[in-house]
Amino acid sequence: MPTDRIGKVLRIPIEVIPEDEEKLRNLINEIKGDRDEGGGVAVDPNAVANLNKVMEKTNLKDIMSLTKESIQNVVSFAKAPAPFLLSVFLRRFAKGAGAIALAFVIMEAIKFAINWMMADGMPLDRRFKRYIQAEVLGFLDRLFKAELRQGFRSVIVTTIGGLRGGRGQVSGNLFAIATGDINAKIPMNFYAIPIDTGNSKGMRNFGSIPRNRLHV
Amino acid sequence: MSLNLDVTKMRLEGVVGRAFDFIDTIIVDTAIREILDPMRDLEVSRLHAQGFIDSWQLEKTGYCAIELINEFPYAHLLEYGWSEAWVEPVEKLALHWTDPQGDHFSKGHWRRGFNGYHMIEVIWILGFYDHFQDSLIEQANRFLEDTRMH
Repeated sequence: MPTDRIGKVLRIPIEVIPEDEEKLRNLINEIKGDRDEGGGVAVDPNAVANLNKVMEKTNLKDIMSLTKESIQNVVSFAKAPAPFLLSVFLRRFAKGAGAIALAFVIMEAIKFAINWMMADGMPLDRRFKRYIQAEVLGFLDRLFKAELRQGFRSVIVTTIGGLRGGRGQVSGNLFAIATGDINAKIPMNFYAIPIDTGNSKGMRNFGSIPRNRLHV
Repeated sequence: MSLNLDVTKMRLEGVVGRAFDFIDTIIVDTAIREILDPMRDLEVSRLHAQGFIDSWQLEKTGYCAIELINEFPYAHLLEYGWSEAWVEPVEKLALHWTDPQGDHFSKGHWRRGFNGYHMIEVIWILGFYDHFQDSLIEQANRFLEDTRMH
């Protein structure tokens, strides 16, 4: 037995983009297939000119200009919200009680902005934030991480108490089914059929579905 | 009014780029589904060494490129096999090894050879690579069909 080959890693490279030009062209042709010009995916040098012609004939031009105007509005609001709002309200309430309406609206806007910024997950969210993924990864070894990356393992982070061990106990959905607690712990899904295990402790009995729990 | 058609033009001309970008995102999942899992099943059915089977892994090595890696210490030997060879002591007087039957000594003997699994050839012959490529092309085409402009 040749000992110099022990410990040699077996590597098989698989590359989708081949180096051979003809093979690459074949692959690209296969991906593109035979699509029509109007489909928008064909690589046709006349496609843009054709589109121009279509736009001249139809009212697509007007629609595009309309969207352009609305996008401009959005952009100007994003760049400078206060002057934009001011200009809009001065335009709308120029004749009557413009100043009072503006004051009320500004108050409401400020309240709304504060609430929005302090809402869940927003920049000023005052709750203590935890990044569970990062915390969990610190406790895993390289093998587990590699398996995790390839999808052979999974880490389930859940807020459902029934799926976690509490007070030093080991718990799982198997035990939850066995004790019949699963219906209490997992919120009722409208499309799910609840399973009643009856008195058969430790065994899953899928046969007896209580009639009164079925919403058919 | 001048129309801004840059995005449209880029979209029309960038089909291949978009397709390959999409392939780059799905390549690992597809390889696991089309190559790695069937290969494991095949090896289990052929009673290959469990360590060899368990050590297969996929690594993304670049843009649209992956690598099947086996880091099992005897992977190279098991894959390509070894030929029958005469073994004898070089410095000592005799070779010595133990097994459940007891101690054994030898001044030199023929060590039997092994043909090897040849899994790389086998999965090529059985068309795993072709299925993999077909699946990628099918998914890319479906992606282009879903994101086409009307």
